[in-house]
Amino acid sequence: MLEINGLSKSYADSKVKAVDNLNLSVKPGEIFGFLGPNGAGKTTTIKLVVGLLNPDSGTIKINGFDNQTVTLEAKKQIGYVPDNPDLYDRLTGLEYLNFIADVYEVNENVRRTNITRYLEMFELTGAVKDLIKSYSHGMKQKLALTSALLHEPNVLILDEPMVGLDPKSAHLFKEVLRDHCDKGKAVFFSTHILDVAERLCDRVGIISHGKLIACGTLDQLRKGDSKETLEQIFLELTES
Amino acid sequence: MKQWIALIRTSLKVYFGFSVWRYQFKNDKKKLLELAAIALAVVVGVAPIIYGYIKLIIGFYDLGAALGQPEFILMLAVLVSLLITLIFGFISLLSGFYFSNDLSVLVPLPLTPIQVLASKFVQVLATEYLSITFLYWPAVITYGIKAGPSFLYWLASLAVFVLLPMLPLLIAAIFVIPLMRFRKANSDVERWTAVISIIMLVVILGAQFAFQRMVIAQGADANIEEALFQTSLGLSKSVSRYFPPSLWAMMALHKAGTLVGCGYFLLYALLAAGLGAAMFWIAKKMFYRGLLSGKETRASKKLVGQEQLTKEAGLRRTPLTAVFIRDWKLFWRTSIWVVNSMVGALIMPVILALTFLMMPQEQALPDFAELLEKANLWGIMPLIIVGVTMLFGSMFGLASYAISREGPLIWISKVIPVAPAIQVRAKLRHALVMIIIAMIPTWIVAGVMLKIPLLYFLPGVVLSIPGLRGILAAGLLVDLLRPYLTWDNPTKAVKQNLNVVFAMFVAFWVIGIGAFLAVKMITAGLALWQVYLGVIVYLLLLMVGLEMILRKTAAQRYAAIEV
Ligand SMILES: Nc1ncnc2c1ncn2[C@@H]1O[C@H](COP(=O)(O)OP(=O)(O)OP(=O)(O)O)[C@@H](O)[C@H]1O
Ligand SMILES: [Mg+2]
Repeated sequence: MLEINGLSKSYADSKVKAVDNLNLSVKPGEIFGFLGPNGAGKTTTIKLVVGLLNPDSGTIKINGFDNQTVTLEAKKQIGYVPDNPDLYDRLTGLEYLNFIADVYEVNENVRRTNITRYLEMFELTGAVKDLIKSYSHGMKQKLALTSALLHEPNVLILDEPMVGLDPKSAHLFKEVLRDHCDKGKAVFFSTHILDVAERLCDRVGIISHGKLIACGTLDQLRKGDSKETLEQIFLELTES
Repeated sequence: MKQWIALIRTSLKVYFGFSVWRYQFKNDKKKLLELAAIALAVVVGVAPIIYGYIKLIIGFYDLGAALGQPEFILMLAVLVSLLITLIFGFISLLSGFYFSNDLSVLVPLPLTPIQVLASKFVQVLATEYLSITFLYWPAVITYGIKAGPSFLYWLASLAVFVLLPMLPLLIAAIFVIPLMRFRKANSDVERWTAVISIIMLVVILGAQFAFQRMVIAQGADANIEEALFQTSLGLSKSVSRYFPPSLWAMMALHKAGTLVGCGYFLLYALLAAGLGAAMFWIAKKMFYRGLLSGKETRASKKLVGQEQLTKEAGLRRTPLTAVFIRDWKLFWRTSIWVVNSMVGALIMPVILALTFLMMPQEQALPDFAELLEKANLWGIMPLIIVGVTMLFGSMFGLASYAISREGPLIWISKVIPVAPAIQVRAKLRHALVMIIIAMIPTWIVAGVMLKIPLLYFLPGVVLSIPGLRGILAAGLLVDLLRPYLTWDNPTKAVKQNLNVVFAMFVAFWVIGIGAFLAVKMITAGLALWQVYLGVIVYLLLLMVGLEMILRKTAAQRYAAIEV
């Protein structure tokens, strides 16, 4: 579903590589957790995948579509929620959702069902006619998530999606992710909440200084020591 | 005092992004090169326009000198600077006082309301200095060279420059500060602001007009000529009626080094000081309260029924239309953009109307029609309309910040699966619709005032569409090549965006070349239909060519944007 090969990126005004020869793949039906300390390169990787940044080298394939050559097709496969849900302040929630549904060419029935379903679920129905400017951080987050789910993307890409969600919304959110994967689609998300990653993810990858230093199922990362928590593994690996 | 200086310094730094510049220059030599290239392009592209501008100023000087009133050029420079500061200062203050993003940082700091207000005022003042530089100095220097005043003149010119924009800006501030207090609770702040600023401008212009009428009615017609041309300072006194303190500033320059000059300067300075005190007094009374109410957004929490939701969520549009609608809504809901692009649309026809209404009846309108008749010019009337429409249209700057308007939210446009070529087409369409809306008042006023028959008017309007599309495509292209996306406040997207200016120069060239070709064809004795054919071909080539280049570059330029 998502294939990253030899991906490198350094920002124009610094010599350090923010992402350094990264290889990883996410299979259909899989939830992949992307972990790493602050400044490790998670957001940079995600922006490269969704096309907000251009890689220095390497390829990214989304459901088989290379995001450098068949850009539009690749974009259609993705639903993306950024780490900071900055949306159009001067549109109402519903106007925004309609805009997104239009540009992804979602047909009437699908959009109707999905919009009503997720708005109900996240308890946003009462606010859809208000300007996004008046939303709280969590409400924006949930709106962004709703918009990313409208076109039932093959790969859902989320940058720290749990930040700012209340316990109930966080719970619903996890169910949505599970649901999504049960339909044979993939989820790729970065997070700092290791408990969530431990319970939710099929596989995790740990990145540090732009390099992938570990990747696999929890059992694989534990290397036999079945008592070890993800937190312990994480701290050990990112220590040096 | 230290706190004051620190605050004002920081706010200026942030406002003009000095730190970002420094950082970029240190770390990115390519940026420097790019800047040099842009500077060169500007000099080359703008040189003829500047040349023409200077010629014009010298012409005005000579005209005044021939009438024994060489100071008239100073009068014009001062007056135009003042009026520009008054109108645009009003808009900038409104957004500076109530809509800038750093307010939410400043307000909680242990600063007094007056300090916050003063730092914002200084920011706006600084930009006003920049914008009047090009109006003030060329005229002042021309006069200085040609009239050969004393050395003190140069000193005075600097002192007047420093003081000049303060007065109108203070007047604007005195109007702006109380505005927020009288806002109806719970109404939409942004829309309210736009409406108020337009009403204010119309009121100011209307008052001007009424005043003018009165003055004209008083003076017997025969004496006007004498008053203008025979009395010393006649011209200056006459135009300074638009804004009387302008006469004082002019006299401070004209009589520099004499007691009279000093007196006028003091008069101007005293009025400014008085207005400053008034502003502070008003601010103390109402600034924070107005400010805080301005930060609220209406959240209705109205219950939305399931049925209604399903209905409204069901409408499906093409991606092109969706992008168009998004741009349309965001534009109209951002008052500073509406005011910036649309105020001109209202001011121009009002000025046009006033000019004609103010002319003494017997010599006003019939003359114009007769003139055309005599010179047998009705035939080219549509061409004149095309030219004027394109000229006005280029000044609204609608397309030249269409990409920059997206700002940091450009990430959405980069993520959605809509080809850049289509997004650009939607923006072009948006600009065209807006420009037509903006032109309607001018078209109507001009048509009615000049009594231009529809037979001539309609072809002019229709013909100007490809021309407008051409200059809009050019403007969008300029913005696409170097969009300004890092703004934190919508005002900056238009006010601190050189693209708007560049695009205007490009448009001037396009119009200039067209006009040149048309005049050449007419003077070469070509038949009227041949002239029209030539113009149509030129406009179509322009439109098709530029739109093609635009679509071709869009994909590559969008891809190059990194956020
Ligand atoms: N716009 C930028 N310009 C220059 N360097 C940047 C930029 N954005 C990020 N970096 C650098 O790239 C590296 C990786 O940053 P990134 O944002 O990808 O980290 P992250 O893993 O998402 O961290 P966090 O957990 O804090 O979100 C950091 O060293 C950072 O300093
Ligand atoms: Mg991050």
